[in-house]
Amino acid sequence: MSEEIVFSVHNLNLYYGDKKALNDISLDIYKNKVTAFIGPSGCGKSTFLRCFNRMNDLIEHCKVEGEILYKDKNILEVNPIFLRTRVGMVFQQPNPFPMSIYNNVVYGLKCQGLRNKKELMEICIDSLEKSALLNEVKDRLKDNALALSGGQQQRLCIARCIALSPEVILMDEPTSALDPIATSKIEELIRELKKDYTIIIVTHNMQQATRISDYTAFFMLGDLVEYAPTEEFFSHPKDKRSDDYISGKFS
Amino acid sequence: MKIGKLNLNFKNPFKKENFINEGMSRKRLLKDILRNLSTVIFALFCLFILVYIIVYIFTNGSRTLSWDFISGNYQETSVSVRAPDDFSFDDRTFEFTKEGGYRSEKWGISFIDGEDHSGNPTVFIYEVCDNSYFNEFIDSQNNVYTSYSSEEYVANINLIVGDSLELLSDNDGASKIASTLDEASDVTFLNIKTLGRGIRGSLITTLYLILITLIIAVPIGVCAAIYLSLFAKKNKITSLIRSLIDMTSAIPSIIFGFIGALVFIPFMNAVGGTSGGSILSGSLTLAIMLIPTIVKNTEESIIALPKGYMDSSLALGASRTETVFKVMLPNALPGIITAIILSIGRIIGESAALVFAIGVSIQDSIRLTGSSTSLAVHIWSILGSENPDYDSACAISIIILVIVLVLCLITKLISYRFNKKFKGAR
Repeated sequence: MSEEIVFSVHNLNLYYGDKKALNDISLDIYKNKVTAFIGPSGCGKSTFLRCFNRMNDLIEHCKVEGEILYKDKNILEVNPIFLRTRVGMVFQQPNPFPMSIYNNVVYGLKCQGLRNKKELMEICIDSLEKSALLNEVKDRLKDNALALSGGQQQRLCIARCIALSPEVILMDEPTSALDPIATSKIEELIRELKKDYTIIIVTHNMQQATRISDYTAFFMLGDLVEYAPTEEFFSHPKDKRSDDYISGKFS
Repeated sequence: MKIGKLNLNFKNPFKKENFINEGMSRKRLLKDILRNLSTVIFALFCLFILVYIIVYIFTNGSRTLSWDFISGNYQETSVSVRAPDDFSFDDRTFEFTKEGGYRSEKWGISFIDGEDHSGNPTVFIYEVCDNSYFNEFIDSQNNVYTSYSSEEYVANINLIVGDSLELLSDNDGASKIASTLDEASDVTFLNIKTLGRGIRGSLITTLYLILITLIIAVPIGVCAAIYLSLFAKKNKITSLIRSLIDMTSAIPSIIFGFIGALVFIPFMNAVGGTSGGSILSGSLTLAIMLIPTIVKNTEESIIALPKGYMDSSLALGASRTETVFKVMLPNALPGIITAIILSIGRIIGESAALVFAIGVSIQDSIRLTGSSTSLAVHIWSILGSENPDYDSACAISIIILVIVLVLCLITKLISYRFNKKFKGAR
């Protein structure tokens, strides 16, 4: 494999107080690929995802050990605000701010200190186009974002995230609150976006993982059980636990 | 039987089919009817009391309520003037500009009948011509008095008619005073008064109290709420602070009042150079009283925001402070405004605390460092005097009720718009 590596995780341990939530995890995330994290509830996949933009810092009594290398720097030691502009995140619930669509998209840029209105508008249009939302909202950029449908709101959250032109987009079960049609639109968008961005997605839905991801990591009880290219993982799982999970023997 | 939306569900319990058809015994049916009736009766009782209070206040207060009442002085003024010693008539003529009234063409003044606050007949000065002899009259310090106004009434007037002295007062009526004046050759004594009992001073004091209290309490309360809900770690100390704030809002206001008297009045005396209670000491007391309410309301409106706002803003590379001021605070604003409006309502209605913290003396000229009193304490003050003035009290009550009602409506409007805005986000 001669893929370019974006994140390189070495011996990552994470504790919530005394409880160990992630157990000695090491893996590499490849550039311009979709990596899916799957596993039963409470296996630590979302926790692991939140390590990549250090959202776990916000949780009290949460302690992270080990290293995640991003461009040869351990992200556990860089400024989290800078990190989060490079590593965007989309959450499970579509949660646009109750302000206009335009303001939602440029929010991150304004926080970074960008004030040029023309430039902001250009980036806004560009981001909405990339997130396949522009045609639906181009006449009402000044309308409140909460008036959009759930699927549109989620795509707006993606637009908001790519407005900062990050390198990586983290997605924490981005379609679990959406209906099948909105879900398929988001999946299509993810396939489109991986040309420009590296995407890490947490999903409960194994079909979704097979449909969109290039690599799959299977977690159980805080352990990384298996990490392989998606096709290989689903056709020839090496670990018995992966096999059982895929074939639905437990969930 | 239906009264509006109330369904009393009356069924004659002595008719056989009423209980046979529904499978209920006569006893159960009777019990149900009694229960239903009792709820309706108690509800009507509450409604009756409320309506009675409002009707009482409005019927008694509306007679007194007028612009003069709102804008007038509380203190009565009294001036005594007389014609100058070397007074004599010349051949001037007078031009009256106002229609009506009883005129004295000889002196250039007209009067009109009116009533004082108790409904007794009084004679008001209606018009004083520019070149009237009355404008040459002097008061007890031998200064020329020219500032006659239509709010003044003639309490007593002593005239020389022929060789005799005529003593007239406001009981005699405007026409008698005017006609006697026309016959008189000199005015030896004229006592003119204003009615007083206006509430302008207390109204202005109340507005000052609202303004200064909010200036002190809102920034402190909002900042404390932001700290407690967004920055503070959740540990024993913050939960202790939170429950202390809850308890503080339950302390009776009279306790704040004497704490205000014990702490803030000496403090303002030392710092602000006041003597005794002042608007400033009152505002400080009210601010301490209201901070818990503002903290509580603001905190609740911040906590009620979707949790995703914080996370997603941080995930977009905003700092915590930016998140608070750009996302959380603007969206919690309706809650903060509601808290402010509730506080205003409380400031207007507060009397117990202010009796001690600012004092009960009703003043007409208002200074921040001087003693004066709010509308609510004004009521307290006039009802505690020797001749309780219930009409004024009712009129002030109308003003307070109207202000509180308007504030309530604004609060409802804000929360309605707030709910509409967040319909999709929860």
